[in-house]
Amino acid sequence: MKAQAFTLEGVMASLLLLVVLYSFFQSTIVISPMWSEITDAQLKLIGYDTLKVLDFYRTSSSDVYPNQSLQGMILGLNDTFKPNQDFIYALERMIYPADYTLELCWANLSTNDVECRTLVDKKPTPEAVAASRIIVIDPREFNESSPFYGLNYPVVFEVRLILWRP
Amino acid sequence: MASVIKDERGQMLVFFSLVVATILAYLSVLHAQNILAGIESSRTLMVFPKEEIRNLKVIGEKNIMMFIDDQEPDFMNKTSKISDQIKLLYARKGVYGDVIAFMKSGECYSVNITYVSGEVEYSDQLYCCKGRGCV
Amino acid sequence: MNTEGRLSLDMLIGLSIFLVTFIFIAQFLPTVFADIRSEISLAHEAYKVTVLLVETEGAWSNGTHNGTNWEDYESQWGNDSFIFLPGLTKGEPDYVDFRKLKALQNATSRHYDKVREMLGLKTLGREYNFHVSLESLDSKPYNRTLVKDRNDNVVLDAGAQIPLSGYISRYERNVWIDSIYDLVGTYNIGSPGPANIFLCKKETTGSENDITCNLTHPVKFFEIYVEGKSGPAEPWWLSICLYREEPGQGACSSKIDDYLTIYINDSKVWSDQLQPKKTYPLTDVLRNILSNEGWEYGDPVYLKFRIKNTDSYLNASSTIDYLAGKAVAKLVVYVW
Repeated sequence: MKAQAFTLEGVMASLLLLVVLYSFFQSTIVISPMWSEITDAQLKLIGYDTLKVLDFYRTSSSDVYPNQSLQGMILGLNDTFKPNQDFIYALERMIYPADYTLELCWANLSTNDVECRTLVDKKPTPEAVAASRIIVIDPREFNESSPFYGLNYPVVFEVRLILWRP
Repeated sequence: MASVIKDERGQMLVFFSLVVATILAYLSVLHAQNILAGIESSRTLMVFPKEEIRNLKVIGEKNIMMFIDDQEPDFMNKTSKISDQIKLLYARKGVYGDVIAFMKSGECYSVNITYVSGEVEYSDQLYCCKGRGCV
Repeated sequence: MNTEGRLSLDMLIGLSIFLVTFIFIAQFLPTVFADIRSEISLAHEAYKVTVLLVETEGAWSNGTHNGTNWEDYESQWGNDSFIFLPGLTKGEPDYVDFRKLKALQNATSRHYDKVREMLGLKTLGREYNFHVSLESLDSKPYNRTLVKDRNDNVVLDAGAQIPLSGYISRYERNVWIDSIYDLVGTYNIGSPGPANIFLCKKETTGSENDITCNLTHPVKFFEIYVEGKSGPAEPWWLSICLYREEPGQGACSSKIDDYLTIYINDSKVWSDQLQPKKTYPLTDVLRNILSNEGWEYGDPVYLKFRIKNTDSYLNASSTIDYLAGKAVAKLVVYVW
């Protein structure tokens, strides 16, 4: 019995060290909650890039806003606030394979309040990210069926795109 | 009780392994703090509102330029309405954002761009002319 | 106390077991932490590279002069005194210059290490490898579709070979490219004689041209430019017929004189009068017609042209998307 005492202690000591090492392996979980920021960064980039590309700057007042641009989409809205099919195609193509919700907000200067409408409504997951862009439209561009017809000042819109991986 | 443990020399081994384990634990905590600090500082880079500020600048440069051909009172009226709407929209997000044009002369104007949030304060002035962009 | 001066076997065994474990752990520990650290910084390096490429114009300096048109100094890229930031934009973020894309391709294939240094991926402390490519919007990591220019050459696919395993960070940015016509092929569909053009085959039957194309829905970029009548002979017309299966020889025989007409199953769905020097942008038209008729994403589209006495060109691309009036693609950056 006496002769085995050292070996036993040696074994115990090694086991202790291995257990400590193993528990540190597991404890690297401490760092992983930060990962969501990194994975979200890609989706956020895609969101901002998409809104930037779909924002159409006219070089002259004779240019027509394409249906697929943000301005073209807003000008084509009527009381149902449903965006045109060409725009939906362009948007879905650029953010594929993410799923999305699209919101439009604008300021009502008579009530000093912000009004919002959801143009495309789907249910986001908890890890969804948002990208938004502010654009300005000349009031003379709106036609009679538009809910913004008749205003005499340039209207500022905020387009909010909420993205998530399905 | 002491008589049960006849040979005590082996206890040193276990004691040393305990010491090593403690040192390991302390070093890993230190290391983890290091990494967390590194992540935090690069995270602040990624959450900086670069896009919002750029958006405001683009409005100052391009969207306000759309009305450059209007007479001065019209131009000032329109740009002040734009400024009010932008302030309302950004206030909803808890941020003070403003694009206000002033001093229009001929085909040029000056515009002040401001962005103030809890962490960031940004203020800039641009001088824009038709066909020549902004400085 | 053992007073005989002998090392006990027992102590040796105990000690050696302990030491073996200790040395194993000492070897092992740094690699555990190193893996985590490189994973974090990879993501940031890749992000930084995409920002540099897609959001800045770039810059160059040779000690005495500087500027932003680094793409014009090809002969000096390799010089030690010439430093440059290979930004790709034209001044606006996400608005990319075709010439700068080509320049980046050349610079990376010829001076890979210099470009790595300029992107901040090769420093004294550590090195990373990278790969950058311009891909179609529906390109997938396991099945990449590279964007090709009008001469069917790949525009940008440069850097080290992407490894199949290990930690790789990938970022993609949606961009729009200056000069859509550098990226879109122009094919003469009015000239006589057989030819293979785009994804089409052209044959002449008498005074008419017969062109059959194999496309996939949705058609990415498709535009017809009509120069005018070819010769004094009357009449002139252009018919486009769309089929789900390979059409036979005699298919697409309907036509309307003086018109560009699109048919599905031999019934007219769209037409517009033919005028000289006019461009007919058909990307959205074709896409909407095909979706309304039930074509799904990825379905084959057999397109047959019949063209008579018309001098015209087909502008088409199967890699560039035409959205909101812009040529859109994505820039993909890999860093490892």
